[in-house]
Formats: sequence, C-alpha cells, structure tokens
Amino acid sequence: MRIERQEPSLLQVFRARMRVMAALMIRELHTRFGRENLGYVWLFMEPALLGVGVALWQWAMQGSAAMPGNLNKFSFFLIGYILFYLFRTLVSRSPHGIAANFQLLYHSRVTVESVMWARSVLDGAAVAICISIFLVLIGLALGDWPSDPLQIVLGVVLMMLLAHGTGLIFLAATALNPGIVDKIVHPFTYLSIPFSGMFYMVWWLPGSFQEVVLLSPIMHIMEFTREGQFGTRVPYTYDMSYMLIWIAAVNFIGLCALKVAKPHMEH
Amino acid sequence: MLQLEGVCKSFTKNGITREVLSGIDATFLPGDAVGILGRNGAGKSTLMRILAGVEQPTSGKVRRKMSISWPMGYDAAVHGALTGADNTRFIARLYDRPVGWMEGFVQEFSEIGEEFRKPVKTYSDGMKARLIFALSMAVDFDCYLIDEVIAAGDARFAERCRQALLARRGRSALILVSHQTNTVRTLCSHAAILHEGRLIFHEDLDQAFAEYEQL
Repeated sequence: MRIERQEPSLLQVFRARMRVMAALMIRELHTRFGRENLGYVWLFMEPALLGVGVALWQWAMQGSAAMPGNLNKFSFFLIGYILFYLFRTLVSRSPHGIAANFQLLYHSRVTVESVMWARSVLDGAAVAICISIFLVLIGLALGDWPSDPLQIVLGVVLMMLLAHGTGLIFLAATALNPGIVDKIVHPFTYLSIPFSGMFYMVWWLPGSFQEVVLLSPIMHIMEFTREGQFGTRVPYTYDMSYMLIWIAAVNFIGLCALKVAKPHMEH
Repeated sequence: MLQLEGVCKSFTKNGITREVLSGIDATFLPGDAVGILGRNGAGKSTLMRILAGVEQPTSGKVRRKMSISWPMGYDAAVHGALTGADNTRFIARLYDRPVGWMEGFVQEFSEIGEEFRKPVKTYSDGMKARLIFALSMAVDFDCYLIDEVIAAGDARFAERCRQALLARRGRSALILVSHQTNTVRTLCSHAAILHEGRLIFHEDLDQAFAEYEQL
C-alpha cells in the first residue's frame, strides 16, 4: 500500500517550526528552572541580582560624583550589565548547548538550529522583561523614565542576534575541536568586557580610543540601547548598518560552520 | 518515504579514523517491515541514529518524507529530570497531538499508574521502556525504528508491543534492527544484512537468515 502525501506548503512548514520552537522553550524552562520553589523567578533573578550588584557597587565606588552628562547611575549600569550578561551567557553556554540536550535530537523534528534558537529567544525574552521591570522601578523611584522603550527592546533583540550567531560559531568549533574551544570561549567573553561599553560611553573617550572601541559591534548596540533610555541628553555613537552587517555575518558564518560540523557531532 | 543515498559514517578517536558505514543505499516505504540483521559492532546503532536524524552522515544523503519515530530501545527520547507527564506534554506539543488526550492514552497504555507524575529517573528500566513505547504509539508515526525493544522488559508487555506493531503493519513502516533472527521473523516481511559497513537486502526471509548464520 502506498500513501501519497502532498508537499507541505510554506505556511505549514513555518507553523510546524514555530510549534517545535514553542515546545522546546517550554521544556527548556522546565529543565532549567523546575517548577518548585522560586522556579521560573530565577530566570529573571539571575541577571537582575548581578545587574543590581554591579550598579550598587558602581554607585558606592563613585560616591556622590556625578556621571558624565549627569546620567542616572542605576539605569546606566543596569542596562550596561544586563545587556552584556545576555551576550556573555548565550556565548559561554553555546559550546555545550547541544551536549546538554542531546536527547532532544532523538526527535527527528528537532534540529540543532531549533534547539539553539529556543535558548537564545528564551534568554533574550528574560533579559528584555528583566530590563523592563528595572526601568519601571527606577522610573517610579527616581523619576528617570526611558525616552524610547521600543528602542531598548530593539537593542536587546540586536544583542540576542549577535550573541546567537557568535554562539553558533563556537558550537561548531567545539564539535570540530573540543579541546581548544574551551580555552578560547571564556577568555573571549572576559576580553570582550572592555569593548562592550558596559562601564562607559564612547563620547567619554579621546578620539583615537573611540575608533578602536567602535570596531566592536557590542559597543554600537550598547550605545543604541542607552539612547533608548537617555534620549537626547548626551551624544551617542553607533552605526546601524555596521551592527546589521556584523549580525548577518556571524549568523551566516555560524550556520555554514554548523553544516560542516554536524557530521562530527556525537551523541 | 525514507531514503539513504551513499551514506557513510566514520568516527575519529585518538587520531584513528574508523569507518562504520561505507556507502549505504536504501529506500523504505510506508508499509514496509524490514528487519536489519547485524552482528555486535556491525554498526546497527549508528545506522539507527542516522535514520532517526540524531546524527548526520559523514557523507551521503538522507531524505525523510514521512514522520520517523525516535529509535526505540534507548531511553534517550525522554528526559530523566522531568516527570512522565511532563515528557508526554512536551512530545504532544512537538508532534501536534492534543495534550490532554495524549496524557490519558500514555498513562493507560504504559500501565505505570501514579508513577506517571514522578520524574522518569526514578522509574525502573521496564517502566521507562513502557513509557517510551506508549509515547510512540500515541504520536502515531509513519515509520517506527526499533532496536530490539521487544526482547527487553517483561514478557507480557513484549507481547503487547508485538501486537501493537503488528496492528500497524501495512499502515506504518517498521525498521527493526536485531542480532537475532526470531524477532525479525515475527514482525518483518523482508530482511537486510548489515555487514562490513554495507547493507544487503533480501526479499526472502529464509535466504537472509541462512546467509546471516554463515557470517
């Protein structure tokens, strides 16, 4: 007996993909946080506690000294830290992203790409919600409201996409050569801190330094996101097409590298 | 349809490359019931993982035009930290089956009772095998991949598995790997032998068994 099947339409394929993504995200929530005690709250608490810690520390260190441009310290460092946290956490978890979830690949509908997407989107959403909660609290307590909330959310999305592509490259590299990558990923995330704009803005720096830090796409995204908070009060330096080219490049290279690496992934 | 074209798979360990599959061509259609016979180490599990899409071949192509089950006989399809019910809901969402209906079906078919609400890592091997088999029956795949699951577990459940699979013959494809001929005889209409990285098909079961015994 032969059962002939019609080729599924593009919409059906898209719907099926979205269903797989939703199932993976719900499962990732369950396995990572469980549903007991604080459970899901940890998804937000993790970046939030670290962000508040850094903001408090900066506030204590600099005492009463005003920030350049008289910016609010809490919103400045919270955005800086939490946004960089998103990049760091996605990149540093990526090399083992599949090994920790290899059971998922026993389902033929689940691809390596969909597992990585589910994780990136979940962490991106958590960070976006986390930043929103803090900015509302800061607004209520200190009266410093974001000038363009949509721009902040867009900044989080851009950072998520950049980290996603970078993570794909590291995932592929791990499959091809497990030894070397472990030694590279952590130094990479630490060394990218000075180029992230976590603690400073471009206009604070002398011209020649500006040129160097502006090579880093993280710097551009950070400036873009801070503009969403502080508006026209201070100058910002970013180039949208530069960010988008980087994002497209790392994602393209990441997908190509993954295609090469897939036959070498063992489960 | 599930089609393999020139599939090769090699593993490199400590600088030594070992080729497990060296050029496999095969086509499986809905309704086929094929038993794949192979001695220990012939590459049966590797072939299963490639059919299921868990691993990618080093070279060659795999085309999947029907829904393929996870390879049964491993407990990898479920997550140990999640409960049987959580795993069921995840698989229901993944394969677009009604969540509530699937929970009921799986709990009843697997006969694991209240343990259904406990983490899978607390299950015995038999319970885990029953849960995984029940899940695959609930999803209703076009093609079932089975790795000697029938031999595992208690005799009564093994018989129920056999009945459930026989009831599906003609509707779903069945690919069974085994190193013993008797499981193949009860479930399959033809057989193939996996030997030295190649897969050779036989239309006639007895002829396949005779050749297999000679290896």
